[in-house]
Amino acid sequence: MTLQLQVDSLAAEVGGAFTGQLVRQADADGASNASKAREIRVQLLLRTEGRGTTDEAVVSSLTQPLQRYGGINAPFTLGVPPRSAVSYDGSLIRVLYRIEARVDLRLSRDIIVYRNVLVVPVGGLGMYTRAHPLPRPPQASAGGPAADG
Amino acid sequence: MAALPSGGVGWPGERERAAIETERRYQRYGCGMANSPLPGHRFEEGTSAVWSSFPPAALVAVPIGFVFLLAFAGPAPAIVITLLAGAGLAAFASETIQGWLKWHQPVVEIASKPYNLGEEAIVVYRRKPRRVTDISPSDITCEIVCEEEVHYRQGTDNEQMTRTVYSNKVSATGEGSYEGFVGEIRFTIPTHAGGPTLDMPNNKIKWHLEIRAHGPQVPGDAHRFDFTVSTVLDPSARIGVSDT
Repeated sequence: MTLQLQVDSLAAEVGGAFTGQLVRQADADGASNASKAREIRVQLLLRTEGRGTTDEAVVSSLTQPLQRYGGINAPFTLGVPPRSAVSYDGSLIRVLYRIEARVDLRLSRDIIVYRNVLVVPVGGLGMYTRAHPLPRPPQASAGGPAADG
Repeated sequence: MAALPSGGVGWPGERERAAIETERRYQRYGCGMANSPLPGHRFEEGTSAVWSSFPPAALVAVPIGFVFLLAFAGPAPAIVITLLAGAGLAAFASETIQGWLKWHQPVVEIASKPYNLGEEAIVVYRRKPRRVTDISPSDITCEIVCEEEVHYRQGTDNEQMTRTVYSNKVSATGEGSYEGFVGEIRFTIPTHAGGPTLDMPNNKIKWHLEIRAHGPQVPGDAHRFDFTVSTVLDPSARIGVSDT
């Protein structure tokens, strides 16, 4: 019954894509019972946190049909549109991304699994292990502008 | 003196020198600036409504106030209060009023696309005098500011909070040219503070420049120019920048 959401890389550039694999065991044999699962939806969700009212957006999504008995073992690709925001950890605002997979079950609560991911600026792959901004470079902190707020 | 063509000045040889200057700049920067990826450039008007509308508003408000005082308080209090208000206004906003009376609103020439994170940006500040003026080289200070702005509800009220997350002052020198007072300002968009421009309903990241000139012949009023920062890490900033 459990759904596995495997994401190849937890970071993607703006304009790039997240890829991964969706795995779910069949939960019905088709003879004695039928699966309640109808479809599976994978979404890249943006959410803000912080002092302001939360803004949420579905950045990209796709729907995968399930196999006859509710199982699936299929790759997925979720694009990050070119005008998307990047993951950000500021003073009043945090921008967070997650990939969420939701199995639509008939007359039951949906099964949801998610992975928190990073969306980094174009050209920033391999440079970010956390949300923007990058840490201050050592040379700038030694003699850099004192007015930085 | 004969009527001058638009943009001209009265000194002999100035137009030729200006033309050579412009040509050199175009040769150097391609289309007027180093970071402009497209042919041509655009001018950004000062976007601060407060600074732009203050002098005319003040010039209208003082006579209206005088008429009201004359009608309700009599001539003596009206004259005294108006003189005091005028003096206060002149002391408080003399630079702004002088700038408005003697100079056109400044413009800055910025890139026609958002600046990249870590990019060394160049903007050209220009301000034309209303009359031909001899302008000696003067300093320009430019404050680069990144602000986070959030909107939230508290009880039944809609509240707004703004916090400056990056602020850095740079200096440049401006000089007189056929275009008036012109200065080239260089600064770097930081990768370690602030973030790309964000425009969501309740959460925003905004960037602006606050530019002020300092000199005997130039007005010292400040002007604000908004600009945008893209979600692209500039190639020049990738060298030596790492999160690990």
